[in-house]
Amino acid sequence: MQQRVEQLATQLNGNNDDSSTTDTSGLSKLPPPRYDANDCDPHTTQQVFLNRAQFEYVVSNDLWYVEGQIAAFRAQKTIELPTDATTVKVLWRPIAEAEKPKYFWTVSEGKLYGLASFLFMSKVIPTWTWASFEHIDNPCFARYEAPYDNFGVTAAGKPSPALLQMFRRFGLDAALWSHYRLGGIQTSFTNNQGRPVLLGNSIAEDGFQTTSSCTTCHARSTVGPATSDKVLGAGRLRIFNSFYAGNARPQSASGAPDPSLFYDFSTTPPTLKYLPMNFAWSFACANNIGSDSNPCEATSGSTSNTSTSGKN
Amino acid sequence: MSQKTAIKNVLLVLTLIASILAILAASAASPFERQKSSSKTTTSSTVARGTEPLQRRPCGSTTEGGPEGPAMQREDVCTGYAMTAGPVTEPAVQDPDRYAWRTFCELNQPAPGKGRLRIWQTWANQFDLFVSRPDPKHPPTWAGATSEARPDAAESGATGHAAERKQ
Repeated sequence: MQQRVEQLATQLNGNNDDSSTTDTSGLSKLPPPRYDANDCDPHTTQQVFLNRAQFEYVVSNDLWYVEGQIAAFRAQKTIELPTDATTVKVLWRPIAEAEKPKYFWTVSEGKLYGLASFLFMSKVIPTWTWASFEHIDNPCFARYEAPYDNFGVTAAGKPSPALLQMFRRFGLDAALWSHYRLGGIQTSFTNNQGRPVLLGNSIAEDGFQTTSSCTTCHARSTVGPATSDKVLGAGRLRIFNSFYAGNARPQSASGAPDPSLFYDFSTTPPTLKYLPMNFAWSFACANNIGSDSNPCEATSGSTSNTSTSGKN
Repeated sequence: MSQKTAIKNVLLVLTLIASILAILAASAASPFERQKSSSKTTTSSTVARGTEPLQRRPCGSTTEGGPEGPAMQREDVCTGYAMTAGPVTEPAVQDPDRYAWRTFCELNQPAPGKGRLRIWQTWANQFDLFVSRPDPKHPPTWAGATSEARPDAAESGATGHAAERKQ
């Protein structure tokens, strides 16, 4: 995970657009970070899954390769994934055999992994919903951002009777799944007073949890006229918009998006700079025709296979 | 003259009594007033020190930043929803925590006919949609992306899903 974020930070330097609010070009001049941001990530591996509604939309609109996305930009097409589109992101951590009873687990290349974090995003509302679940043994779960859940936990922090009943209804083993907690669900950029709403998973947003807004970050998923698969995010709006020297990590934007990121308002009518890709960062994983750059794959990118799942 | 002196004395006594009553009344009210004044002082001093919880602890409790990132801004809030009365017509926005758990359960329930795989494990990995060496004449298909026989499917007799990659 650290490699992933640092890779992104490096790419931000080379990604030439005007959306950054912080100059990161002088990183080498900064003093060494005061904090180690790796404390929260127990060496996880990430996977992202897309459901059929999302898959079919992307294919039928020729958005699964970069040139198709650029064509959508030039046509100023509106990208609107269907209301039943759903994405799941999972983070696996290595676990010991003795930990299996409290994890949903999997075996990959002979190694045992437990499900540490589970996040889903659903297009059930126009700005999507974003839910973050974590295993209670995650090193930084609830350390920096309080979990909020008025359904699944009691005042004492135990799974609520209503949740246990729900587990039973869906055939889930309560003894196992009770080790997971809802960190929060985000449904808007701001609250009703305009205050930016934050939500961060202690592993997925390791090092930028205190600035993370799922909705704001994903609103920056775009395509532009010069998008390519050279590096992750090339020719797109930057994922991050600032940098925190204390832990040497890039930071997320929060609150309502700035319209000037997407349009040049000095012209009449305003000129489109970046076409929004409907909050789906997966689009940034697209390759150019015939290319195998695979921008989402890490430099160390070992490809492994998952072979077995845990019990119910 | 003696009449005047008597009136003066009466006025003096009345003034004394009024003063005593005023002092007694003030001292009777003082515990409440002190409490109010004390809490006001506490609140204002808390705000002044910048340690007032932005919403609830530990959300927003960091004031200097740390491994988790910089200190939250005072205007920032964490997710949180009050239960509202009346019928729920849009669960995701009106009862989001229940909606989140229900969706969690729906996605993590065993996929029918897929052994121990969960619903989400039968979906396409993003790399099976945004494929290497894309050719517009040969778009990815759902069947191909979720096939157990595809190249990056699970190893040795498993009913697994798409490959994982370290990012």
